Amino acid sequence: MREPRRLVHSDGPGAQLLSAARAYRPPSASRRRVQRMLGLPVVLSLGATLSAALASTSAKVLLVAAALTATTGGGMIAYRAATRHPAVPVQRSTEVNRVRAPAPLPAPNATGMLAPSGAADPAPPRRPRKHLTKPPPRRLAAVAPRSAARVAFSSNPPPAAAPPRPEPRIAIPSEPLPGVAPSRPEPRIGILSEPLPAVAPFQAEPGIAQQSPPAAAPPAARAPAPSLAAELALLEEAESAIRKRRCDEALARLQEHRMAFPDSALAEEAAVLRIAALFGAGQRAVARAEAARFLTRSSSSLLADRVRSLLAADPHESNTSPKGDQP
Amino acid sequence: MSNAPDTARMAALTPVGGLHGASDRRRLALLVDRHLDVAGRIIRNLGAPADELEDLLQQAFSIVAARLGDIVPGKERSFLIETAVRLAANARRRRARSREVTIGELPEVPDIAPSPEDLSDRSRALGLLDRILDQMDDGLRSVFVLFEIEEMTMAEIAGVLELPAGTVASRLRRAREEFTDRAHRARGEIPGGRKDPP
Repeated sequence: MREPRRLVHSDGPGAQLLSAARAYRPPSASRRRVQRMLGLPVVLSLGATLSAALASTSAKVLLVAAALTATTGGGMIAYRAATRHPAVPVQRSTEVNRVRAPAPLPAPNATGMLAPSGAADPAPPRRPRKHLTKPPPRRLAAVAPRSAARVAFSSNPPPAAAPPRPEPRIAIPSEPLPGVAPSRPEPRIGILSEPLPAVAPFQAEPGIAQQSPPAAAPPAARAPAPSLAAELALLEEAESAIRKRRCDEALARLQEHRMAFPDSALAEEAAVLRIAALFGAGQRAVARAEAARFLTRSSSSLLADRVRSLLAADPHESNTSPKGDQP
Repeated sequence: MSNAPDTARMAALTPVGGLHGASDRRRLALLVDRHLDVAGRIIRNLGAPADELEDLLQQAFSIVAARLGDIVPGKERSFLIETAVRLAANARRRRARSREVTIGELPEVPDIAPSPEDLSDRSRALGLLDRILDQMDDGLRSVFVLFEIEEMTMAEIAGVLELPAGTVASRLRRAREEFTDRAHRARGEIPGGRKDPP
């Protein structure tokens, strides 16, 4: 098929309009909401920043800054802290947790519609769908997503202990909920331009824990343990130092962290920060060696991509590590 | 927000965390990282109402997450785009139905007053683009948006929209003619565009 030239490259009157449309990006708050809904670390949203920086310039400062930005978001640290530390509940999207149904739910079919319960239709699709490993249920062409969702929802009522609360949708709780006093000031983590909500919700919404029954431990038991807070504080200092390009100072903080918490729940985060700091401090050989070790040890870690980005951002050597898969 | 409960319900259907293994989470993370912008743009440019954009984006990813086990690795983006197209088209139709009742026919582009001057060039351009695209038939609009804005190939579009290649080609041709014609008529409003008569 011969492709006509895109109108955006023409000098016709519509080119500016199309160019504006191409430049549109959903607000970063939307991105964070999606990430929280899916239980993903917020830091991954910065991949685009890194790629853009890499594409636009080879200036070392920018590269390092972008790589650090992409590597060391507090959201990731807080997220992983929460997932690993038994005393800290995992914060998911508030909506998800409040109304989550206990039983397996009907999967929406490929049209984005959800089959009503009891109406499962095993009929094969009109045509095989190339990108599905198995045929989706037949489409419900006339059912709008909202009403379909309602059907599925009402047929899978959540347990009485966790009814959907009629609260307004609050994607980013900025303050602890009433009655729940965080045991200590929240560590301020994050090098994003916007405030990262990832830390606060862990403390602010203690009644919500991933895969745990609604009536779980009392709020007091949900605050981060002192050691975790101390770890976070140290890593935050290291991250902040890297951001200010005081990489030796960052390395010192990370060394402290290693000594104080040999069995750290945040070892991977610390390792990535260390790699970033080593690159920033000009110790490229050590950095590359540590990066290689990290990728060998934790190749499937969500942070592995960030390590690869750091390697790729090293301007003196072409990237020798494989890039992540492209969905 | 009035539609909060719907969002909550959609979100409730998403098998987050425990239902996904590490590799699935990785797939989702990469998908969000790399293709959320595309999905958001498609939903916007296919005419979903502005106040639903965020919810629709969430829904799109809810659906992808729920179907992740069925999606062939490497086809996540296609599935996401297909889902975004459908959600946006549904939302647009829903809104159009309710608008028909209240304000009747969509006004022609030239009759619409220019956007307020305090808007930036880009939002004015987007507003004008929306008005032009709003007059396009849904089928034409999807092909046009995917080709001209997302720069997908015609073959990719045929795959995502499940249309024969010839249909994509003819829709694209018609859509481009309509767009060029309307943009030409409205060029006085285009930020930075020529304002003199033909």
